[in-house]
Amino acid sequence: MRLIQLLKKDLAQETRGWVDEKLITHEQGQAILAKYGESLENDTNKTSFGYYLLMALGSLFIGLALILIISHNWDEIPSLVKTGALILLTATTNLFGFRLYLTNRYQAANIWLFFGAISYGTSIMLIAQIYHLGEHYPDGIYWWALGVLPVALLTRSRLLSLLMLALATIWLCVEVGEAFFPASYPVFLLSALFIALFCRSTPIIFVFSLFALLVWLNLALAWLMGSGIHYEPFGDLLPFSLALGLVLNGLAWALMRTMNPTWREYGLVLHLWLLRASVVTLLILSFEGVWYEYSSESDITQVLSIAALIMGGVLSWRLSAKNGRYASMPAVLFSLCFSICFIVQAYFSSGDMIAAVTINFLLLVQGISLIRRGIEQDETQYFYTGVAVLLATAFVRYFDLIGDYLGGALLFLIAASIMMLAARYWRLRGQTEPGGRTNEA
Amino acid sequence: MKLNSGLVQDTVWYQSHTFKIGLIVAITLQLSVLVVEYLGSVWPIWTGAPIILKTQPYDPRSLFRGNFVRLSYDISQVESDNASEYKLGSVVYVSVKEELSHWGFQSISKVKPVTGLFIRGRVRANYGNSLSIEYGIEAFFMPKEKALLAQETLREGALMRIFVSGSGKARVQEFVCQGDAC
Repeated sequence: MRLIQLLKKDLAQETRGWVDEKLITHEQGQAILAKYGESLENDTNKTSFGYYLLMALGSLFIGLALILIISHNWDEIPSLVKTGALILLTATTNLFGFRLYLTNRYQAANIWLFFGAISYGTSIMLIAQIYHLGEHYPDGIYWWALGVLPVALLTRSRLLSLLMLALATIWLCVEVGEAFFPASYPVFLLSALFIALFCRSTPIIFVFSLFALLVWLNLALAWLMGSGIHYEPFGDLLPFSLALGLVLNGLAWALMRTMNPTWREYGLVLHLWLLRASVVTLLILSFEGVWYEYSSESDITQVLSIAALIMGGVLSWRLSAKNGRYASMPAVLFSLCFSICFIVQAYFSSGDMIAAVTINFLLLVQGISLIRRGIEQDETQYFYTGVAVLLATAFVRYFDLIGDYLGGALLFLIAASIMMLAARYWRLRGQTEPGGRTNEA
Repeated sequence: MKLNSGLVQDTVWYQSHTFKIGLIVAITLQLSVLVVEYLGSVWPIWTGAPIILKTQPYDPRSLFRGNFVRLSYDISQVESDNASEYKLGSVVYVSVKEELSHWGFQSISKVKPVTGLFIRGRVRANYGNSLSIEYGIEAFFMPKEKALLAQETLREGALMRIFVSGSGKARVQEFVCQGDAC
């Protein structure tokens, strides 16, 4: 799976130029673009999409204006009239959207239903205001999201799906802020995933849903540790999260092998975001101080968390093995290194130092591997990410010495040796392999 | 189901009876939520008994909810010898008795009382012998200027007219006081 998949619209535009200049035939152009799920024909939806987007944003602003105007507490109007007007507004906008569906004007219908969803939420909040409802206020946001959910599922609209997901996530935040557990949040995530996988190509919703699921699982574990009454975050959440990250990485590679071009694109986008997340995570864990502050539970939870890391690694390896060594090796390496880190941190007196050094070497290996992958597969993004990883590692280590000055110098020397040996090995391998490109480095 | 259907399949889907009926049901669901919210708001006022509670308004603003004064009642903090037995979030029933100018705390129970006037609430905090309880009558929405005025002029305490239904559901109706803030 190549990064060009993410630039297929640009590729289509370029290919149209090549056909116009007669560099390639019309059939060749079509064949090339068909590989990426595109066509030589101009995208007729492009103009209407712009119109659709602007109309949707317009509806959103009208909704926001409505909230502000009515929030100004119109004392003079009787409560019943205000409530009736709000219910009527919600009914009218939604039914107008429905009517547009009957006349096959689907985009306009979606905009009206979106406006209806905003009116619906405004009404919930304002009826609560009119009658001074002081109940648990996140419930209002919950009912708003829940009301939009079936409309989003039925219309398969990206806009309504995004609204539903945004509302559910706001509800998650305020519910957690009020020290309650948002038990039904996965219902919204799974609905969004269903739309992304089976109805619409929408990588943002797909990736966001998976990361949000990761957050929710962490919250669920903390809630369970607090006996289902309050949150009790614990250190072993970290290895559990890393294990889930490894599984997601395996899933990304498995998606990149599927025949469905949209799923392949999802796999690639997920892989790229996991790659960025892994770099940030490794850089944070590369500080000895982080491991010093980290406190895990020395009981069955810790054993389970390390077991989860190993199982996550195995599962990730199983899912990615068919994609080649660039896919499967990181799963094994990350799982092994993380397991070592958490074991030494818990059971050895100098565990913090060993864990930090292990993560630093893991960063070096990741950087070298990305550079090599970038050159071998002609993917500049991986190449520059690898360079950035190595530079960032050197930069943070220069200012945050592990041990003392001599220890830091030793670390740099070892890192330099590893990189030079890797480069030398790579060059020699290129010379000995049949058809190897000796000048590629 | 076909994966990632395009416009053609969308058109078929949008023209199907399932979609049309589903959308009507979804819209009805939204409207039902609003109607239930309205009825839940006015039912205690229509059917309940009016009582007066002593309260203190404070913190009159919220980014999320507009302008309102937060109300803290005498019965928002109650003492109980077995306070630790009340779990956070659990439903409690607080019986109230009539005093000179207002109604005050009488007793707290996990089960609905058979006689007397009581308000249904939820335990929000639990420390020592003290319980913090919310009844859903802690917000009173009013314009920003009035809310600030209410907080300033009624700092020493105010009286609120509350309606309580037979099930213990309470709704706040108005300030019982004199002056510009009411």
